[in-house]
Amino acid sequence: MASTKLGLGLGLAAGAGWYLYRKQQAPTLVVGGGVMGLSTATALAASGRKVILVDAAHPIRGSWGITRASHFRMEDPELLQMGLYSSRYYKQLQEQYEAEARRSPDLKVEDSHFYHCTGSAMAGPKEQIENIAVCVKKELGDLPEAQHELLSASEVEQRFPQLKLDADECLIYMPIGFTMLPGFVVWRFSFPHRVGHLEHQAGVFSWDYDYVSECFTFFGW
Amino acid sequence: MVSPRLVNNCIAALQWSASRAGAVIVEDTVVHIDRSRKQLRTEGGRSFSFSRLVITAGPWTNQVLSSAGLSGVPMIVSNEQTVELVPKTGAASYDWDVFPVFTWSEAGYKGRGKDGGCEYYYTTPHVTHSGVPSSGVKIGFHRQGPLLNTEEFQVSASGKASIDKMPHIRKELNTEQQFELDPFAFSKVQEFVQKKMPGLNAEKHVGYMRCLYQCTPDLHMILGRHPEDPSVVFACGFSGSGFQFAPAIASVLTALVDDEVTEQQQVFLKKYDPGRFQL
Repeated sequence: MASTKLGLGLGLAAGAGWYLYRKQQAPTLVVGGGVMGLSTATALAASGRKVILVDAAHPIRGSWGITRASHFRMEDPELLQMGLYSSRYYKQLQEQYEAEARRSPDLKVEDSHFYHCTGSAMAGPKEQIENIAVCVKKELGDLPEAQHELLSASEVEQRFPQLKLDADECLIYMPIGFTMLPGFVVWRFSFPHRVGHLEHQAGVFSWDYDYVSECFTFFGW
Repeated sequence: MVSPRLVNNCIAALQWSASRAGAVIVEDTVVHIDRSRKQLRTEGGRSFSFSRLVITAGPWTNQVLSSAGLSGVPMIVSNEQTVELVPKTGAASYDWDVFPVFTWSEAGYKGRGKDGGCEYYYTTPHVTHSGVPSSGVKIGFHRQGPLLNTEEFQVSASGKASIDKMPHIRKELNTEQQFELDPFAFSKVQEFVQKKMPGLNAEKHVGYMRCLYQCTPDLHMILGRHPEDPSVVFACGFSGSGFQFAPAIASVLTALVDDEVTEQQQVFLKKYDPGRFQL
């Protein structure tokens, strides 16, 4: 019994030691801080790695705009699976961010909303759209995200008077689909300022890791 | 001073998420990556040692690869445009509480038309949420912006060799990024709207925006290890459809760094492997 406890204790200590070693080793560098870089930095840090993300903060961003689409009307099985994983991640992130907004005096709850279910539709030649419906069913089966309806041109005019299709076209409508609000350049880098109470100097700033860690502790993160 | 109304977005949430997870964020431009000494140098004079390197530099990917002494990938940046249109008087609403994300394509999501191109229009509804500066329905003529070859958005030799495989109608390489209205793309949107979304006023836009796509010859993303240095992992070339897949792509990049790739991630890596192209 005692040897079992000793073995368990040693195992836990070794595990903790390995975790701390990985945290302290030279960091993983992520170059580029758009949606891919930020998502990757989050995942790497969550896996126990020390992460530094370097972003040039170009005044004109790569991909920018007020909205993005997130949906499941596509043929590729790989993209359908990636879309499924990502959609559920975004929904969870929004919930977490909203919860944080409720706690923080600096954030407004209504402003934390970025993943809005609007439904999604794709129209085109009938055989193309029917093929998408088959691929979605095959890959996602009976999951809620796979729900869809196929509408003929006349049915589309009844259901969506905003649209007009040719007689040889049809539309796939999926109630689970999202309009995303990707955001603005300035806010993206203003958030750590406000959290960390850092001074903004000539458009350039960086984080001191220890200082920010103290801030996180202060905020209970 | 930034308006707190601008909090309303996904990137802010991701920034919060990355910071909360413990990532340190540095705003600076990478000028040189020494892969043998595992050091990165920035324009601001800072230097960072690293154990692993991940490149998620979007349209700047080839420039960053070049700074690391690696060959670029056959990805060409295109100068895309979206316009915003509003409904005609008395027309049905296109607001996001009644109208979905809507796309029309002649060949599905990633398919090609008979001529090798693809006529594809995408729209997002008018956002009525508080604080979001949406003026109308956003519409783009997908993957049809002018192709760029600039100092920032470099086209590799392999990219130049694959121009004919791009779905773009206009295949010449432009040496300057344009920010003004693209009349060709707008006229195509006008034709589309008059036929398929007749409730919108196609005569006049209420706003337009230019943004950048990272187009590959097969329209699929590039995700994996660099063929010339497997210790460098990267993702780019999303060809106009990356944002919605970012968390999944991040999980694959992380698995590569940790050398803990799952069976499903292997399937993704096989399809999107950079090695499918001749660099």
